[in-house]
Amino acid sequence: MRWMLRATKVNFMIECRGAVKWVGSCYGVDLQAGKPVIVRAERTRGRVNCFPVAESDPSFANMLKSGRAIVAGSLTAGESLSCWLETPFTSWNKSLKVLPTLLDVQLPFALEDCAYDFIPAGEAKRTVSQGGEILRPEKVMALAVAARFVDVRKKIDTFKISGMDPVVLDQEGLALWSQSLFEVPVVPGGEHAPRVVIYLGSDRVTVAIGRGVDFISAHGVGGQPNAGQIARLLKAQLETPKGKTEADVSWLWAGPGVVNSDFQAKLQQSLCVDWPGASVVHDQPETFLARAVATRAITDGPLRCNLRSGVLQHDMITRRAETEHVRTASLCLAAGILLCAANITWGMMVNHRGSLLDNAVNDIKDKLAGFHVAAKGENGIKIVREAIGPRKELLKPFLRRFEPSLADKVVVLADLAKKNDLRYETFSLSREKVSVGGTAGGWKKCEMLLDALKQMGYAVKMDRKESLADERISFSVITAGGASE
Amino acid sequence: MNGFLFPLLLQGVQVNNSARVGFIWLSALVCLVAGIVMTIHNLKRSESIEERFRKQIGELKILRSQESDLNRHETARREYELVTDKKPVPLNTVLQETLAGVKVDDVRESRKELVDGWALRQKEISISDVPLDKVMDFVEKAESHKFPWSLARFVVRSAPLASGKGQVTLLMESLEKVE
Repeated sequence: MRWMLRATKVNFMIECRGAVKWVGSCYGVDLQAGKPVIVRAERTRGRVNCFPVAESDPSFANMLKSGRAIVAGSLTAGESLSCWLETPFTSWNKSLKVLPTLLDVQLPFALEDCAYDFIPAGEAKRTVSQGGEILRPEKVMALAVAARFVDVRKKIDTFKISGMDPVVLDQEGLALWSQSLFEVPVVPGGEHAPRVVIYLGSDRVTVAIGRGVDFISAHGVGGQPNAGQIARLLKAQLETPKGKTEADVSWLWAGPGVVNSDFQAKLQQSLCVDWPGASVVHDQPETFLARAVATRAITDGPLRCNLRSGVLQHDMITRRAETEHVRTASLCLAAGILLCAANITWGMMVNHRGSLLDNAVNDIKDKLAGFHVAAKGENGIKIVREAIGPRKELLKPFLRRFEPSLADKVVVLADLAKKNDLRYETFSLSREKVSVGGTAGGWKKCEMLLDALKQMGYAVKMDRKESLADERISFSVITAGGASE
Repeated sequence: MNGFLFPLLLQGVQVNNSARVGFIWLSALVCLVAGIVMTIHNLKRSESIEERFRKQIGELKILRSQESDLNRHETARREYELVTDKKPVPLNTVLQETLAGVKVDDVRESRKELVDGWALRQKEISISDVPLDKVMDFVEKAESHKFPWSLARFVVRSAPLASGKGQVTLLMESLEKVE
């Protein structure tokens, strides 16, 4: 069921993960009356190339011996089954809970005795007809594939006779269908046309039926079927409620029985009487199924499944799942550790920064005060100010020598008086204070003196009053504080 | 015997693997929860930390400006230390040079100890009925010496400044170091 959980579920897309997607190559094997037809599939930059491999090939033998060969096989349509299930839900996760029960009802044997898998349907807006009934697309549709454990074990044992231990056991009908669509896609306009893939093996015939790209069902029809058997299958699967097929059938042929055989041509002829349509033989039909299972195992695509599951699951798959589990858990652990480390680092950086600031503040306080100042904040600053205040006071005379001379201010004020008709009657000027009293020729002329003193840095206030006798304005200017330093 | 032991061993390995995965998941959960708790705690702390840093930086700025101010004063003192003769020219000499013939009403002298052997000398000179431009000449001369006097206070009484004469009181200051 693991690959089901990995399938993307947006709008019920078909894409499923290949059973051994993580490897770049594998061997696809088609057992024909116990004799294997083998191909090696290699995936390079998204493309899969298949090369036939002889059973006696030494490199293949070495790979098998060393246990490094990854083998994909299939259970025939007679050894397994596929059926469509409809659930009452629109959510895949909810549907997964009921699908086993729905499948159990359909099976002629107990579900506990089966290996099974559920494949999500195509896009919700597509419909799939089954037995003439058009199913509504709103609900989740799933294709169930199942095989009895006893049949799966038998197949594994058959492979082991040839020295192979298959990692993947695909379902033959699905493999034929998806590989046929991959190699001979549906032509434009043929999305709803019936399509039949017939595989002629040396010991069996498999028929996969669908419409357009939609798979309907797969059937095993024995070693040498006649057209009538196949026609009855088609009638059951493809006939519309009106009793007719609406379009020509696309016939696709594969398998070793197609090569150098009249049987295929005669069968084709018979079938086209009631089910006319174009016929195509797949390239290299003898290795078609082997290519199909190998390609499906190492690529993502529609209708992927692996019936070697449950208690019979191959160790490689089990180990891979565990590795992924461990990897996921490890990633989460790493994320958790990283988060903790980031927080611890942040805390350390903050503490370090705080210490640096603390030390800088303490150093400068102690240096200025000349003794250790334990107080923090405003108190500490106050202590420092009180410590350096007296020294600064004693050093002020040294600094004054580099300030502009007071005499310059006297000269400026004297010039101001001359230019603005100001008569100073009392005049006292020091660095901190100024006191000037006198008369002025006009109200605004007093303000010239006020502005000049303010520019010199004195915080002054002025009193003025009209003089009645000589129309001069008497004024007095006094500093509120000292000159700003 | 081997047929009995091997499945058990396999089962044991499987259990160990499950236990290992379980242990990793548990550790991951613990670490993630711890990480989240620490993150929340640090986020809550960050505001108070920012406030604390802001205060400390503010304190540092104030202290540095205090330090810079004190350094300015010390630098000024060091400039004076470089002068070889750390005594001002006698003011009487300057008075005679610039205000010859002018009667000085009063001279008061004071001395204040400063730092490192330095002292501040102050002389208050009161002169009556003196041309004010000559007074400014005197001040300019006194201030222009290599080890200068400087005018600390200028007071004019009794006559308007514009008339060019008056009773003037000057407070002159100078630094001195006795070595």
